Amino acid sequence: MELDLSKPLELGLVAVFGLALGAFIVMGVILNYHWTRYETSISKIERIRLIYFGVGATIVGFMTLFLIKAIR
Amino acid sequence: MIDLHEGEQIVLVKRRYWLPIAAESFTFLLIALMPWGILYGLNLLPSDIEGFVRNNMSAFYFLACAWLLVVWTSFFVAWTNYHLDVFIVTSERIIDIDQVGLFARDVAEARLENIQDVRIETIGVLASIINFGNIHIQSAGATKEFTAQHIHKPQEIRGAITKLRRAEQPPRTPSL
Repeated sequence: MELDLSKPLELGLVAVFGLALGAFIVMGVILNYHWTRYETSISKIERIRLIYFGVGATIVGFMTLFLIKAIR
Repeated sequence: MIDLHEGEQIVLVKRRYWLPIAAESFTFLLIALMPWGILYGLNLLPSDIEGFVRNNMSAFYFLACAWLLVVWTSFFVAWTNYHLDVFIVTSERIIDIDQVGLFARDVAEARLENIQDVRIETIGVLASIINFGNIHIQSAGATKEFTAQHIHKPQEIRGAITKLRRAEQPPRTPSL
């Protein structure tokens, strides 16, 4: 596998990956702060975190697989 | 977590009715499915675009997943705004939290003994059938009026306040 960033499609895909992952993590930190600070039930906070980060990580996993496949 | 005083307990937590957020969630679902809609109608696109997409299916699926991640995050922002917009009745006070946006929040509270009047407003056929409405609470404190909108069974708030205030008052001794 050789990543050639001179190809516009590959460069674009890597940029999209970085932006989407960055936005997901930054928003996750902000949302987590809000849940921790303002939610009334601790068990609910844990469930919300699990759903948000669990599903998000699964989508990122698929993104990584398709990215590797696309730039091969 | 909301800071409670010593010995204070949460009696009732009320949120806006779930129907508007359910409709919003359905919209997010439709938006999330858009790339698969494009895939379904691929043969309707001009042949050169169709050919480009078919030759780069992995890139297309990657972009579809990126789209899904953005929609997932946006949905959680909307849901958090809904979920943290809350009206709380505790054993000592009422707390009205308006989550306007992720970085805009309005918190008002009044002690139970300062509550002067509680008014429930139900407007429309749907609101009457499903039993949701607005509740207005007049207070003698710094915040004169509290309004919680689109609350399911708003009479539960009034019931809780009445019960707590009765429990606070000393029993009346019959006059001779």
